[in-house]
Amino acid sequence: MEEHITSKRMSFGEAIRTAMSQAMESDERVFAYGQGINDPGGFFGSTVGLCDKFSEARCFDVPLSEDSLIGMGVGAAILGRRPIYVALRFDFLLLMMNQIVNHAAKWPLMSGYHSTVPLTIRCIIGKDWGQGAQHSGAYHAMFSQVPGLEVVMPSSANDAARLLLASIQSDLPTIFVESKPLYDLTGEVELPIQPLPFGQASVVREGDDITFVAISHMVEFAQGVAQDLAKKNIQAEVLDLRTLSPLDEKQITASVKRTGRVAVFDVGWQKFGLAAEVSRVICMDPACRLRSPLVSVGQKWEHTPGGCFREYEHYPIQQQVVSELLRLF
Amino acid sequence: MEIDTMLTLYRRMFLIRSVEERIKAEYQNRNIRMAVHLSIGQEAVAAGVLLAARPTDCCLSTHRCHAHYLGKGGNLQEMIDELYSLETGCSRGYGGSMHLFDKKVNMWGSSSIVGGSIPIAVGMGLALKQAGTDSLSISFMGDGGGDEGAFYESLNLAALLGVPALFVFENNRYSTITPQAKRQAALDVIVKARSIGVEGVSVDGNDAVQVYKTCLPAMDNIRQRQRPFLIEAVTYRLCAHVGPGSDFGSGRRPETELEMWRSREPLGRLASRIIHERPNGVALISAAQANVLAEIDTVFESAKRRFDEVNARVGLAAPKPPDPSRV
Repeated sequence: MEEHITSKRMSFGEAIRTAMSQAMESDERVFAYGQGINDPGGFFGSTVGLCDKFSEARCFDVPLSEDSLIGMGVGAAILGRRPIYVALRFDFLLLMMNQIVNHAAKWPLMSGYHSTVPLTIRCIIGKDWGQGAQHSGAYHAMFSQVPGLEVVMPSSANDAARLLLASIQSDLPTIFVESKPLYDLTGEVELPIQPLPFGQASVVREGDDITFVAISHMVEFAQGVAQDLAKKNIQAEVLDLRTLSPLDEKQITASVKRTGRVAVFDVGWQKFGLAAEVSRVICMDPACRLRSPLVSVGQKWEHTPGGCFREYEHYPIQQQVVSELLRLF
Repeated sequence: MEIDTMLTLYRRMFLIRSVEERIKAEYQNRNIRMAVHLSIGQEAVAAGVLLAARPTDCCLSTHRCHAHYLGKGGNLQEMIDELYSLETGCSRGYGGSMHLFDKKVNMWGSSSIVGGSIPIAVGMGLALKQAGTDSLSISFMGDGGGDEGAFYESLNLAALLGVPALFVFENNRYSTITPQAKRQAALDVIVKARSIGVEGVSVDGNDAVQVYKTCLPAMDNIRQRQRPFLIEAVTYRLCAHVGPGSDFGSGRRPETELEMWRSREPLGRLASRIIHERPNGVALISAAQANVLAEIDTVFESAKRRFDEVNARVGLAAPKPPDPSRV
């Protein structure tokens, strides 16, 4: 019998909460934990009510012991549980590096692939309202460099719900990266949520003149830039990668082969990051011939300032990006 | 103490000791192409704890994991195959000596990042509790693990969440060559554990019978109360931190200390006790040793033959001779 699919308009946070709830309802091995997970505000609404709905054994508050909390998740995951750790900011994952990189990512290999680590770590990249240098870090490229980890970065409510479900169902440790601006979005979310396979970019806008490769909230930014270029009869194709690791290399090269131009819209810094990886993929494919230099859009090469004026200058500004791109044509 | 239990402990320790002595001997042929961290002198901890455990209890270890793997009943041929880098090894040639894994006996691996497996053991205990079993997780660590923040965090988490975990603090008094007193301002790990909310007891880690007898009620208690417990087993490593050699004579550890600990090494001690307590003790011990050395011979010959077969195909160069200035 076919499952009846409906859809409901939801905020980004509600979509995430719905995916967690659906996963916990359908699989008793799933549990969620994190500092303040039972907070009435609930991680911008993304965990509200979960601890009331499920038993304390399956949704619980924890102390500030980041590295050991992830180690605990690794151990539970190795024995078949499916833990979801919720971290308020990406920056806190740096305290967990030993367990994420040295243990979660390596345990399957070290055991001769006789074990799996189905652990999901949710985290949020802060932006605006004085998040400052230690609450706005975007380290997705750093984690994508580690074999054995999956790195997921949705850009919409529906994708977030579907990708989070896929993360929870994955047998590999998965870093599920949200960014604060996404919490302003609402969108139609298909119910029941179906997991979305990793490594499949989506074409969110079609065009033949230039390829925009974007992730997370920069997908919306790239669409804004594309609309401005369209006024000058330049049609940009916008690719939403949805997952960084695995990366949909095929869609990137297929689009660039057609357009001959590329701009990368990253949430993070421009050096050694997504722009570098997209360059590698393009340069290694002899059929990808660029007619103009690659354009990189992302954070300036310093940490995020805490004051609003400096912070404004730190992030890419739409009008400046449009001007830079117009010079290519 | 029943004689059968003492003989089982003896046989397990004899197996561990003999396997490691054989590794030492074979190491000079340079085809165990990896670092080995031997447990010679510390066998009573693995044997005592793991004889008291149930097969369903889940075990995690450290870089010094040979004894724990064998104590848990891990497959010997697969362990030696792993040391010879064969794909038939317990970790299929991906793990190596520091990452021995045998799911069939609930040996769930080890971390060579000191302290790294302690929180993982807490998670295993949590999973066993969530699944409604009365199994427990066993976390072997060295005193070096007690230098790490993860040790304190993990004990707190286990106490806070009511996790059925046994922390085995195998105190051989050194982290590589640095003595515990140079690393820890307060030495009493039982006091530290209690202050965090984990009860514990210190035992003579070179007395397999005492280790075993302490673990039995402790494990029952963990299962029934769903609370963690810590056992400090005071012991001594007779080999160097890494490799088949010794770090005495190089000035790393005092030779007088070695002499003292050699007189208390656990295998000979248990043998003396059995001989002292039983008129037919000598015969019982040789019966307990039966077939162990022959099995080790067969296992090593098989692994070495298959290593040569693989290398005839791959053609790795002969390794450089060891540098005598390094241990």
